[in-house]
Amino acid sequence: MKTTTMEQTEKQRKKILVVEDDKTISMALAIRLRSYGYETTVAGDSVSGLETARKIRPDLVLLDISLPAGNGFVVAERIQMLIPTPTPMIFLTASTQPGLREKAKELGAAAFFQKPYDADDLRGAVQLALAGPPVIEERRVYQL
Amino acid sequence: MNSTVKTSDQANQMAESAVPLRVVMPGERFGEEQRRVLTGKLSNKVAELEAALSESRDKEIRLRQTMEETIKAEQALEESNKHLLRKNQEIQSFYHTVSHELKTPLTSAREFISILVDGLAGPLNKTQQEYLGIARESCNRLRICIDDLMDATRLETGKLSLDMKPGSLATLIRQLVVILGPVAARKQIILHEEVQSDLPNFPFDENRLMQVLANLVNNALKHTPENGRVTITAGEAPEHPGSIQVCINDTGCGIAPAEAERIFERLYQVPLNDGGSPQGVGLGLYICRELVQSHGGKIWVESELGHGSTFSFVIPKEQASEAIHVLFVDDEARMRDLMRRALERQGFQVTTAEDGAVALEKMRQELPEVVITDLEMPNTDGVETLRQIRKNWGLLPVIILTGFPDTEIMRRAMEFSPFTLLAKPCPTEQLIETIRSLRPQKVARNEFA
Repeated sequence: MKTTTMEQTEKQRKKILVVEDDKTISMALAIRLRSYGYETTVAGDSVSGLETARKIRPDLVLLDISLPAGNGFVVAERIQMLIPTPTPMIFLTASTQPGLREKAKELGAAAFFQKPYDADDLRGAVQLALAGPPVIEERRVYQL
Repeated sequence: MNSTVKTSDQANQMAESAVPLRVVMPGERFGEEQRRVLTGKLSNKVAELEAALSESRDKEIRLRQTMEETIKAEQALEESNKHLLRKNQEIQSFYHTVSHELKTPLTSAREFISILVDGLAGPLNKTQQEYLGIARESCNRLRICIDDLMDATRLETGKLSLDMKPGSLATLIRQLVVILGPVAARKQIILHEEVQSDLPNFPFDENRLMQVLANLVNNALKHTPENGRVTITAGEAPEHPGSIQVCINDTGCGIAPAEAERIFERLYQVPLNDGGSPQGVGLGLYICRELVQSHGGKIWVESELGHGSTFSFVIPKEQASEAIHVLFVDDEARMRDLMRRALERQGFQVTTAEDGAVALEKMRQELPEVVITDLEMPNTDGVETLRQIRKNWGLLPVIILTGFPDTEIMRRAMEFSPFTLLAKPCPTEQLIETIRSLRPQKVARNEFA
């Protein structure tokens, strides 16, 4: 895919790791993120997510929360232990279980999205997270 | 108890009836006849007494049986309650699973539509754009439907909690007008806001209040014909001092009085005038009502067929900091659980304790404003708790919520009055009203009790 967006003009392409067990969603995310110019790698479960993180040292991790073999929070914690430099995390979930947002916040997540997410908002959150330390909370988005 | 009383009564009667016979003089002997009469009377009385005794024994046995049956029934009730609670949890987790399983493919569908619309898979012509727009809109409707179902479940099970923060209602309304502007424009409806200019910030749950507003305005737009008008007004409530009132007025078809009464009921669907099938599952306004009530407010509708409708709600300006802190003391876990949910749903801050000792310990850490206690509890009972409260916390308001107190325990409790006595089972509304009435200095929540 041709990538001409401004994110790509950076000297080194930023690497994003997507850990998501639903193949169609991870595919959609990859299409989008690549179109923005990010180098995107996809993992379908916790174990391969961790392995990939160790291998590629991503600049940002997009995590689904309910994953086979351990949830997204566990993966986030392990990655934080694994990689010495702080890696911003963005959580995505279709779960409505209470307390997930709070847990994500506790872990210092850059953003938290309920599925279905808004592509533009996700892009904004990714840009911001890559630009500096994780500063944003969930953006106020009213999907009506 | 009764049998003893009766027996001694009868003994007295017997003594009285025996006296008038005749005073027996010294040396005098009873005649055979007299002795016979007297013995007969005596044995009659003895027989009567025996009958009374056996009757009272029968009664006692029957009472014991009734008591045993009651205890058994209570145990069965407890069992079935536990069962229901378990079922409730199962239903909760079932809903979460269903919601998750519905949203995952929905996300995927919506995402791929967006990818196409954004031209990431090549350019599209106008018709293709339009059709994909319709598909995306359908995805959005489906999402709202799933969210409503989840919200209704949370409300039913008391699991919905508000995130109250001071905010600007004016900003919220402006955002909503921006978001729904295009929808109104499509039907050539004028969407208009009139917000009091110096409206103060007050605490509310931003997402939830937006949900209420969006629902009401969306409804208004849906039921207003082309070239109509929808007006959102907000300001200090004229009839509810200390509250903010929001009205959404439309020039739509209006609602018949019979419908207006039921419109906020769960699963109620307003029949359409054209005989078509109603849209939605009938949860939208129910959720609005519950959310407004959770904010300590109320919602209503005024309408006339053919002359549009006005949906209004009021929310008290002060309340998040005003959440009344209640301590609920009862040895029954089920009761504690039930009341915690009922009270928290109405915006109370609730601490519970299983007996007096625990209650007093908790009171030392966090001072509640009202204590609700059962009387008969193991270890430290309600009266002892009350005594300690009076000793350490003076006239802190106390509500005694009890089943059938015996006179002795009530007499002991009376020594530490004042308290409000409520009988179990007490309707939640009555309990809430009582709690609020005990805090007259804080009127914000009182308004709509």
